Amino acid sequence: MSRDPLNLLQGTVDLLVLKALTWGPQHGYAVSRWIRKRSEGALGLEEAGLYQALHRLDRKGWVSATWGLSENNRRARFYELTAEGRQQLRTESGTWRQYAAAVFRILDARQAEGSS
Amino acid sequence: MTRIRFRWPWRRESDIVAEVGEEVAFHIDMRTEELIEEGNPPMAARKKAEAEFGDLEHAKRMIGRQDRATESTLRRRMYFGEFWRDAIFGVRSLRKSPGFSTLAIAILGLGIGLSTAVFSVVSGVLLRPLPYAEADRIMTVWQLDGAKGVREQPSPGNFLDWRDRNRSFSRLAAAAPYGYDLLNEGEPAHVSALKLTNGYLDVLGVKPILGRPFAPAEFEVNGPKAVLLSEGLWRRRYGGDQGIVGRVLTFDEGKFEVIGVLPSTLVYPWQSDVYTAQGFTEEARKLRSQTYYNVIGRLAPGVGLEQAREEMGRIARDLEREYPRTNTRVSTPVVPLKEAITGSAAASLVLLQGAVALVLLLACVNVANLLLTRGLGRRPELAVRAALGAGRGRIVRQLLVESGLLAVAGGVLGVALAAAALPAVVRGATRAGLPRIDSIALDLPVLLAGFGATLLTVLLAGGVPAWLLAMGTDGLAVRGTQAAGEARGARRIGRTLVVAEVAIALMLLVGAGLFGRSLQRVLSEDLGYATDRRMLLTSHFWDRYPEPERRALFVEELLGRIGQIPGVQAAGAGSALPLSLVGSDMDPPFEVVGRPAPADGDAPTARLTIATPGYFGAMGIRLLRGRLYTVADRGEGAKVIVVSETMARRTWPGEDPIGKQILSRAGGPPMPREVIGVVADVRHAGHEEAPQPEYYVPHAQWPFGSMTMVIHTTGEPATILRPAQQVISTLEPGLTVSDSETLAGRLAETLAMRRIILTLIAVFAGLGGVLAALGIYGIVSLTVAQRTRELGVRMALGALPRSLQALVLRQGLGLAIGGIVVGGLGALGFGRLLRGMLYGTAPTDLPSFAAATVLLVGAALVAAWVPARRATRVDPLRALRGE
Repeated sequence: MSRDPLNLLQGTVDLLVLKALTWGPQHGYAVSRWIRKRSEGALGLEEAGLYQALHRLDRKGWVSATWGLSENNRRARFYELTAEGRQQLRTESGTWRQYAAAVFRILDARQAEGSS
Repeated sequence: MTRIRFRWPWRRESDIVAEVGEEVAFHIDMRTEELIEEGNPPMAARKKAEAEFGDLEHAKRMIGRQDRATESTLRRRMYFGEFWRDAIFGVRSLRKSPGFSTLAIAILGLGIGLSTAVFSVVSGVLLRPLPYAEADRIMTVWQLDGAKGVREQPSPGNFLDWRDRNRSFSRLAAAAPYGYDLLNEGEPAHVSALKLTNGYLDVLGVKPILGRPFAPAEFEVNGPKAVLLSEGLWRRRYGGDQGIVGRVLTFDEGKFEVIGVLPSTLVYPWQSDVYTAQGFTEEARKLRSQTYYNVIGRLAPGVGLEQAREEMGRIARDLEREYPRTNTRVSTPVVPLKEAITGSAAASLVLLQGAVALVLLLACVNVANLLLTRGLGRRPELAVRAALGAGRGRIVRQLLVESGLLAVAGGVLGVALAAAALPAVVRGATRAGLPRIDSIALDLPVLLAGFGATLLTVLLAGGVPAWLLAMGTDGLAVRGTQAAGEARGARRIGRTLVVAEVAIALMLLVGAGLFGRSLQRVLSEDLGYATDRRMLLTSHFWDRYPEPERRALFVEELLGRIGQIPGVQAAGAGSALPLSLVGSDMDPPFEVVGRPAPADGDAPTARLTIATPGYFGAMGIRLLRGRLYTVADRGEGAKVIVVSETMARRTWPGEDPIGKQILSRAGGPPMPREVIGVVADVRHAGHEEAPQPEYYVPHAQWPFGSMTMVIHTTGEPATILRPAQQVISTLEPGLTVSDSETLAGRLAETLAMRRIILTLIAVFAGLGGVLAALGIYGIVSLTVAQRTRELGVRMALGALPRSLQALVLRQGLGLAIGGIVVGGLGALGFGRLLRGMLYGTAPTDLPSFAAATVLLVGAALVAAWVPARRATRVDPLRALRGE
């Protein structure tokens, strides 16, 4: 990791966190590990930001938090998608896809428009 | 078994910090472990994990901030959510028992409505500030004759000396009652007037709404004649004509130019039709024996009431030295204007407000009892809720929300009732002769008071039972209503409440009794004259007949013609009739011929009435001794008088007054007048005034120019008005007649306040009795319901239905007697406050107490009899089997 990881937009972190919770309640550490694994470390997500995102989503009511026991029997705070959060994930990922596609279309352009 | 740690339903500040710390620590630990597994040395692993996390402290702060915001949103939402759920649940549970809800709302509505209505009067008449700038600095000044013990309007001479000598008032001014005949266009009319001295309007700070105030020249004795109209007359007679200023009106005293219109806020000494300027002739400046001025003053800056009183007292003592004949023992009370206006009404209003407060309290107690009774029936429900985890606070809140709903509904109903009753209230206040009727309204302070009453209701009627019931749910099993020990506690409170209800009802009933007996006593006083079928007509004719002889002839002729009208039984005329609002100024000192002349100021005084021979017959005044004067006692003949019983007794104790002579100082040179008869005492101010000494002079021997005719009719007195006026206008075209009213009507006015107070207190007391009976009924029914099993056992063991009935009745009676004893003590305590308003009745009046007791015992027996009957119909078998 010699290169500086990409700086992530706040909305993107939220989206990633919501996605990480799609398969059931997770504690913050599991969310962080999952994102690191899936992105193969490329996103360089700072945990501080991730936890802030989790609590922010809690406040918005997109996830709900409860204390439970982790796999190694420690008290951990588990986050679960709410119905509203699930809905939010669907629309946000749709928007993100369109956005990314648009960016790609520009990056993949071979020649200047209008010269054909 | 895991012990569940106590947790608040929400997170506190310390909880949030701890949780955030724990969460972050968990993360670091996990990551450290992972890194160690990957082959890092432990120390380096932890360092790396922490570095990966980022700024730890900053992150914790940010996360904590998020959580606090989350918490407060959550808490708010939870609170409102629960409140809303409570309200919906409350409405649902109230709707399940419509009878109970309707009764409770009706009782509260009645209580709140009555107290709001009474308070609207208290607020308007007593509490609302007068419509003047710095109104509390405006004072009235009086002269108090120590010998007579009466507060009088000052005389012109005294007023002028006060005005010139004092330094306490920035301005002192006076108004003198007067009257004019208005002779311009249309029917001639008599208008009431006030003659104002320079500065009167400045003291009050009242400015004309049209035109200008008086100019200094208009206060000169022979200055230009100017008149200010009242807003009322201006609108009534001139349709609010903006061009009225500059018009010239013809009064019986000449032509007056209208210079402006005064607003209706000018209420002291009373609202008048027109206002003219008062100057002072040389004779008037010396006048000290005639008292008719209403004096007001505005305190000078920095001067307090006590200071002003002290200075006026000093001036009074100086005047006493300078004018011993008129000013001996005359002091000068200074009374704040508001007190002078509301004076006699204040006590009555405070009394009514107190009584109505008792009714509201009674309503609250009653509803509290209803809620408690109902709550006892709901104990299984409450117990289930408690068992399912509802805390005591939660249950109290649920119950409070329910009673709050009742109170709000009651409050809305009450204010609606008060608003609907407002016209009737204003009519009643007018009839009672209250001042400042215009300011009675359902305004903001009154509505706030209604709201306050509602709030009080919630706390009193809802809070107490809610608290008690919630206490009872602690550790309560979901067993049902039977035999739970705590129920007994609540029932004991219930009984206490019923005793309180009976006590309040008794106080109200005793009050009604005392006022009823007072009225009875008042009415049993002999007025000394008859009031039924007597029509009064007043007329002023000084200017039409300047010569005394012609005045005498005119009155004789007029009465002769009126006597001819069919339907007239008798007709007479007097200078000042009983029950007239403006009293006679004529009670001149007199001497008894043949006795040594009394020292200056020591001469006895008596009321003097100038009357025609027919006056006694028309008024129904009884002759006791001697003879009445007749048309034969003419001006040129021997001067005669008729005296009242009190005058005869005081002046000639143990002697025969017939043939005795007095020397009257008033009305020209003193001349001896011989007593030819004694008549019954006449109570001029109505039943309640003790008879004053009085003597009658024949009109022919003192032809007064301002007389009130009294016409005794065979039928309805009002029917005589038109023919009588016809007779007057044929005999003397253009002569105006004022104050045409019946004597009975005037008498009713003097009794109106007493009647209204009695009616209201009686209504309050009746309500109180019904509510108390309702309370007894409720608690006795409850006991019977809860003792069904016991009653069944007794019956199975052979108890007679009669004895069971007695058992229940005794309980009801016991409550009533408890309440009667408490209330009796209360009535004895409060009764002393009523002393000033009672008449011939002691506050400890036994018949009033006895009647109240009998009524309440009766009500209690009826109220307990219904459940008692139910007790005898208990089926022993079913009762024993239990539910």
